[in-house]
Amino acid sequence: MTTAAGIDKVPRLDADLVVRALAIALSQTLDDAGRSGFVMGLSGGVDSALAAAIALRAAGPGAVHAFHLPAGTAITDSAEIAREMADHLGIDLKTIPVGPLVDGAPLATSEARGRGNFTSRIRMALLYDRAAALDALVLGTSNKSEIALGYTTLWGDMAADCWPLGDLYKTQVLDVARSIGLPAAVVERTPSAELWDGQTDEGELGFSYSQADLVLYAYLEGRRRPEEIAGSGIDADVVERVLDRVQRNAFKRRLPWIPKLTTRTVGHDFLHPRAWRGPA
Amino acid sequence: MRRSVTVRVIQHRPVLGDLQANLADHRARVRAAAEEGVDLVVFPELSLTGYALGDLVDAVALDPGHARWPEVLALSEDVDVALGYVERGADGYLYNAGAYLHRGELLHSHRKTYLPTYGPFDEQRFFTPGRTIEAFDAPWGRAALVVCEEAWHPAITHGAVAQGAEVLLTISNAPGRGPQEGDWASQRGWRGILASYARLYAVWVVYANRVGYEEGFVFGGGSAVIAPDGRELLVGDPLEPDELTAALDPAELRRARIANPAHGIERHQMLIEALARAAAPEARAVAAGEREKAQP
Repeated sequence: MTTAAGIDKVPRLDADLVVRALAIALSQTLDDAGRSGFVMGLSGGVDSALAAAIALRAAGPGAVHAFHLPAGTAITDSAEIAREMADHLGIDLKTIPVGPLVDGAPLATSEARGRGNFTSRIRMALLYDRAAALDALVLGTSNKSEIALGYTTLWGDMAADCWPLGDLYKTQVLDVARSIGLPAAVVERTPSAELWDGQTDEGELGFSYSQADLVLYAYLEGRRRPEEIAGSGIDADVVERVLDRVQRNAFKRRLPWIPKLTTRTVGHDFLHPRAWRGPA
Repeated sequence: MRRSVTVRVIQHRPVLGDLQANLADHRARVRAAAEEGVDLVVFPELSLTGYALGDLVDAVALDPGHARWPEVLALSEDVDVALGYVERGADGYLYNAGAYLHRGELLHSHRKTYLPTYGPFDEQRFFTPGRTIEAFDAPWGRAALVVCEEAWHPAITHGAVAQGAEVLLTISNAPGRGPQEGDWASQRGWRGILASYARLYAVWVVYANRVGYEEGFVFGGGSAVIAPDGRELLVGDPLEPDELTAALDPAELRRARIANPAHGIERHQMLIEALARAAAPEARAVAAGEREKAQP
């Protein structure tokens, strides 16, 4: 699977093994946290659909609580597809329109991006509210492409207790979703965060996920230099824009920093597993 | 080998940081094995504690004065046991160690010499590296404990076999990477390496890896029993707990060593001299690309 100029393609993963592995991770995470299920947003897109399918496998149908959180005013088929998906999996789905909450908020700007980020954060605030009520963890649905590109809202869609899809590129998410038989309506959809009317991921990013994933895979796993990737036949402008996003959004991939002042500091040298059992 | 030994590999999922729960699990499995006529039960690396301990290493470290140490030794009253634990040395340092227990006593303990501290691994932050590799006499033959990363340093296996090891008890906590074509690419790679050792040195390889999830690691299972001609006799599931039971027959070792006597004619002195030359200051400088500095 090597292109003419020697850049490897994003590998095809074993969907069954991926789903089994991630279900084990989610199931252990629930045990560790002592919670009884997962709360998640079910948008009608493929990421949340696959995450829901895996959570279902990990926790069982009564333990996955999905919420559809429409923000836009345009009529989309998202609600219908989210419903089809929930019925396909046999999980509970409730709808909470977030548009009125955003409309009622005294925002500093009416510009689409600022409003979109606020919408994303309102969605997660609602999910955490429901998670507390349902004794559940919040399941994040971000994939590796989004996280690497920083195509996310800090403390918005990124706010979650775990990211089961965080090591799968978008094209791998699609492939796994297709392989495990998720409905075509979900797999074939145009990716969108639906933070404003007409928004699409690929329109906003300016390149396709299949282009981005080729560059990201070559850079991350392949440890190729940018000039090697550009020399492999991929549009040099796309290579530059993808890697620029990776670099510019490095801060989104880290927790807030703590300047070290003492001999033992959280995150520097006070390091315990999340599941801290037994003696201190 | 003095006699055949029936080995059971326990591919388990320990509870991170919970010695009591893990001891109970070890006890149950050892008891079942003893009832079924097994001679030796092999658990993975850090089987008493789990892997992603971070700063918990101190809390779960064992030494002969620890209240639970007698329970550890007692595991081996009816059947031999190889397991992984955190050792608090008499020197006060913490080691990632493997133990071979026999009739309620510690027959052999091995401190992991190479602690992976790269990529996703951070072991040398929390453990002190061991300094020796030693083969030892088990009741049924000569063995060596090889702990995880050590399998990726061929000199460890070479050193163990040069001291007469006939069975390599390789214990690991290898996370799965590359879920492709029904297995982890990483575990396929592991077994490829171990099968090469088995074949090159004509030794039995008993490989115990764990499963389960800790702190972002999905452990890749794929434990194995590999015959001295390199054949994989048994392989564990890539994700679920599993048990592999096999009789290691001295006759297989004998046949393999007749068919492939290569290691029997190893020239240790030649290797010692080569290593001495490689370790000399000027040779090390050359190897590090400082040729000019090395010249007088």
